[in-house]
Amino acid sequence: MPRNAAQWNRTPPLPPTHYVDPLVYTSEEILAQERDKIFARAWSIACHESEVPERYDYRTYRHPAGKNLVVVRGDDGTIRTFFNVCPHRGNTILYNPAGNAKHLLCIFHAFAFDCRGNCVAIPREKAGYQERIGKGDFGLRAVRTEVGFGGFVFVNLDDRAPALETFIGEALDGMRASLEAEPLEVFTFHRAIVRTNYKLWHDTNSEFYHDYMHYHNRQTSMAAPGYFERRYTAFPNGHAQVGDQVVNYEAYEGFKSRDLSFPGMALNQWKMVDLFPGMTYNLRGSSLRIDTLCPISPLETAIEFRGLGLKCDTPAERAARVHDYNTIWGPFGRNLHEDLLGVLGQGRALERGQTYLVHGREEDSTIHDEVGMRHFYAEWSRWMGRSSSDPSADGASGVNGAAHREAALS
Amino acid sequence: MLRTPGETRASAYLEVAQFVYSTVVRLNAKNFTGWLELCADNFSYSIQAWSPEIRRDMTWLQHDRSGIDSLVRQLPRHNTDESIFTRHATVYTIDFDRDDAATVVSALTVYRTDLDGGESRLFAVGHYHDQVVRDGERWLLGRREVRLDTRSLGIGTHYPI
Repeated sequence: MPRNAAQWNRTPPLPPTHYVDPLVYTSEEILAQERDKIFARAWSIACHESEVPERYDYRTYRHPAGKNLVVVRGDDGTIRTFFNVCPHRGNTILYNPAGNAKHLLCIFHAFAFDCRGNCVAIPREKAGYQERIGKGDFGLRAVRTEVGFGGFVFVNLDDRAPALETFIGEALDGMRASLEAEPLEVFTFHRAIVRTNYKLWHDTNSEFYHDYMHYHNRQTSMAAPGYFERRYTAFPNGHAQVGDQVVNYEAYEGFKSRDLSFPGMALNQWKMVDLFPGMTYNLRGSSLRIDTLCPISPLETAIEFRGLGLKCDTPAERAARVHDYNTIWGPFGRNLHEDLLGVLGQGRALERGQTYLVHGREEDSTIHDEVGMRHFYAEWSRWMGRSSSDPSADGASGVNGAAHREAALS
Repeated sequence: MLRTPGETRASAYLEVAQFVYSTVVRLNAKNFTGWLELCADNFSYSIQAWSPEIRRDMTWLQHDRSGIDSLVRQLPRHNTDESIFTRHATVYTIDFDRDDAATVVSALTVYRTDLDGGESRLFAVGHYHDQVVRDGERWLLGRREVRLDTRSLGIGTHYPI
């Protein structure tokens, strides 16, 4: 039965844990708080160690809290991270996304920094600053950096945040042996800018009910044994794992069984873990996909996709992994376009007024249960200090959620 | 009427350029079956790009003729953004390897036009690197390598470009 305006705006007849207020996706104020309360305090993947393989290699990174960073491999082999900002006049130091530089030189006034973040040159230093201020006062801002869980470079802007191991906990234990048996290497990277909220992409990675959208998955996964027995496991800090499955790729015309896998994995085995607040490890046997998210505005998100194989791959093995990855997950792949189309549609609908988003399916934590999203939003609410079902309930914004929604719709 | 060698050469250049444009016309019309009719049995297709971020060449799509055939035949079973994709190619160079085979490089721009409202936006910039071969009275695509400069492709697409 169609609903009138009042009915449309009414909270769903479910516990508040089972729906999300659309303001959570559209509010500038909430995004500003997410940057401050979540992204500035949580661990984020900046890049993979294979993107800075040599001494003095660097890789820039736009952090989801809004900071521009640069990851540098030092002369001692250690990977460090700094703000990509000259402490003199606030200019960008490195413009290229990657490269090799013994000194990080700001082109503006030629301030130079070494690979450990020390300021090593200021033109006419004594003439201008005398003894009042000098190189020792112009070091780069260092950012906590840990490399792990498959060689990924994790960074945290919060100097007091718990260690990475504590933050991840046991969430990646189910695939860690496969990730760390051999060094990995990035073979593809692309960034999609999509008009949607970043959480909607993480939602897509956190629920499989939308497999109905994917012809490929209906053929290769939903019809395969064990699909409906896959279970979610929720971990502390908002992370969640989806149960493994062996995928029948041959059920899709033109596709064949994978010839390769990752160490310790059966052929065609699929493992997936979502990490709070916006990272996903997606290991489809022969290749690993890593998603990372950076909100640009409430309804615009940069999603970065990395594909990885084993560093020891032969050229033929690498070509096979690249092919397997891109047939599904590349920008022209079967699944990725559909997933992106889905969240674009959500973003479009939210722009024009939307009711609550329902995460109400309960199926004993099996594959179509929406417990993965509920787990995420419980953690989100904890970090934010406000409920995802009624984000104005703490009175911080002074805005009544329902009234705001009605105003947006009118 | 007899042709001079120069006229014959010019005619061949024109034929090849028009052939490349005919492949674009069929792709723009989403006439993928018709486009495949312009491809040789041993046709290969790839979309590649250089990533300054990871400092590597990337291959985003690679298929032989049967792979492309399978891909386009299954499009109706997929959920696809059905926007209009308009490819605009300009043939830059034609190098005849033999009288019946040439390497063709064309500049490429692709626009995406929304069905709802008709707004057009640039989707991608790049080049076609084609190998074309003569088969009797007609030319065929032996290989098409799409080299993209654009790497930020929004939601991407299921269509060959």
